[in-house]
Amino acid sequence: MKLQINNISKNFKNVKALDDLSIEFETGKIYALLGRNGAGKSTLMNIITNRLFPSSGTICIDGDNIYNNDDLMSRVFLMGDDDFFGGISCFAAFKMAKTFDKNFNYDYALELAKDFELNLKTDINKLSTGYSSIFKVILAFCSSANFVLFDEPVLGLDAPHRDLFYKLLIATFLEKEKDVCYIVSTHLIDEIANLAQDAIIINDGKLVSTGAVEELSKSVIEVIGPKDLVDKAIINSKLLGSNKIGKVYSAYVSGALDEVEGVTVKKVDLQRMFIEITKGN
Amino acid sequence: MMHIKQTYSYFLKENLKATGIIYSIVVGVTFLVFLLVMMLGETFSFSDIQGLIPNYFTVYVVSFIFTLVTSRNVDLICNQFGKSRETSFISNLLVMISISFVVALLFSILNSIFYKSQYQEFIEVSAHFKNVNINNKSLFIGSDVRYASLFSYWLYSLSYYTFISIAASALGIFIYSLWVRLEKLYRWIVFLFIPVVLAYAIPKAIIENLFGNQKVIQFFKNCIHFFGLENGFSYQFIFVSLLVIILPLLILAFFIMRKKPLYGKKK
Repeated sequence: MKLQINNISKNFKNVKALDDLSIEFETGKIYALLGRNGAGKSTLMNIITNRLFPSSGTICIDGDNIYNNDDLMSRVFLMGDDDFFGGISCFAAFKMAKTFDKNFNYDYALELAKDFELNLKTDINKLSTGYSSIFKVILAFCSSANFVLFDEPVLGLDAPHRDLFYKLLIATFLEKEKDVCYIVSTHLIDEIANLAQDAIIINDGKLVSTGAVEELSKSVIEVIGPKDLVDKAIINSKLLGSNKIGKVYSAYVSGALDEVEGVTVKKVDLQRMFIEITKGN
Repeated sequence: MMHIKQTYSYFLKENLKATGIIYSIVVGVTFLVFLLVMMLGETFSFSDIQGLIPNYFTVYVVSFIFTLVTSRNVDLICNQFGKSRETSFISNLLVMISISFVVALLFSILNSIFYKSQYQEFIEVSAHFKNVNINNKSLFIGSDVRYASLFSYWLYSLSYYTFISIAASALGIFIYSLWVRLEKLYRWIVFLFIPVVLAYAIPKAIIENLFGNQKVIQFFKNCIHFFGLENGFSYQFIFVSLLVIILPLLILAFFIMRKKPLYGKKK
């Protein structure tokens, strides 16, 4: 099953939040949706779930537009930072979820609440930021939707809870691998890089890079050495960024390198690659 | 259809509970006021119990505020669980109509029992339909006319409560859709609609207080006259009002809501 984002643009008055964005997500994969603050990640997720409407473009599942289509819309679940439940208890919210989503895994939700030490009797709007995230994460994991979107899922979570979240992400994904696609928008790139198969990087509302995490990391390399030699080596490459510490100069580049002796070439991780390709903007 | 049914049945149950609680509070507060006044030495007759029945104005205000609040709730929850805006709107509308009818049914029955003074007015109407000489006072004692007038008053009360409640809810949905659609900068425009809400309530309250309930009935009779519907009594008036006022409001709200952004409370 494929979720297709076709030429989506979104304007807010004079600001272009998304600019002709086209992406395809498919079930059986975990995606990392990366971008700096204000890049358009949340706007994209809100458009996918009909909370916002695009200025142009369409969102389709297997070629069918999901706009005002209940059957298709119920295949998408967004765990966002908004509270959509008001003053009901977590327990009541799980019951409500079961009413609307017949395949919502209610027992698993109760089990997860216990694991996360979430007090089910507490009103949702009285939960701390961390526990609010936990509550929404549980809803998302237990949803029967095929495309589950997490917008900053670990916001406010402490290290043990973050660890538990990632473990559950993998566990639930493996359990329904063929039927589910997780799209995780986060700023904690190092943490998601080990879990996601594919990454999508957007910047200023435009798609900057997409592909398998390993391939994307390979697309940027660090060249270290004296500045004149590094400059010589990267003459045919695209310079993304550079650092100078003392006499050591390092350049982050994409594209082919010229062979020059006296320089060291290193692979970079996804986070470094992300920093270098987005910081110029 | 399945999605509408699912959403409708869930919110009907939830909103009926909420309506029950709201009106229990309204009646409870009125009852406490009664008790307080009685403690101060005032005595009340049986007919004074009518004060415990929410009047048209109360139903109008409660329905309006209730719809404003619940529309948002229905919309947010529907979206969270993958229901479209159309499903959300239609379910909300159906819930609102159903609740209006339940409320109207309950209060119209209570009204007919306790508002003796008002349904006496309808003795004239019933007598008129039965070609009875209304100047002959003895005919009022006849039970058939009394039941007929009670029944006609109940119907009047039922239809009027239903109309008031649906009209208030329609306005609630319309204002809600404008509110969310227009977002922060233009929300103040919504306040311009509050006089519209009060446009019904204030003149009615003034007429009722200055001239009493009989004048209110006369006021609505004048409205019927205005619409040229004297022969058909209030049903045509309600029908015309539905077409002229409520339906366009709902249609407009439907189109506004289809494209409005949805934001929950930021955590």
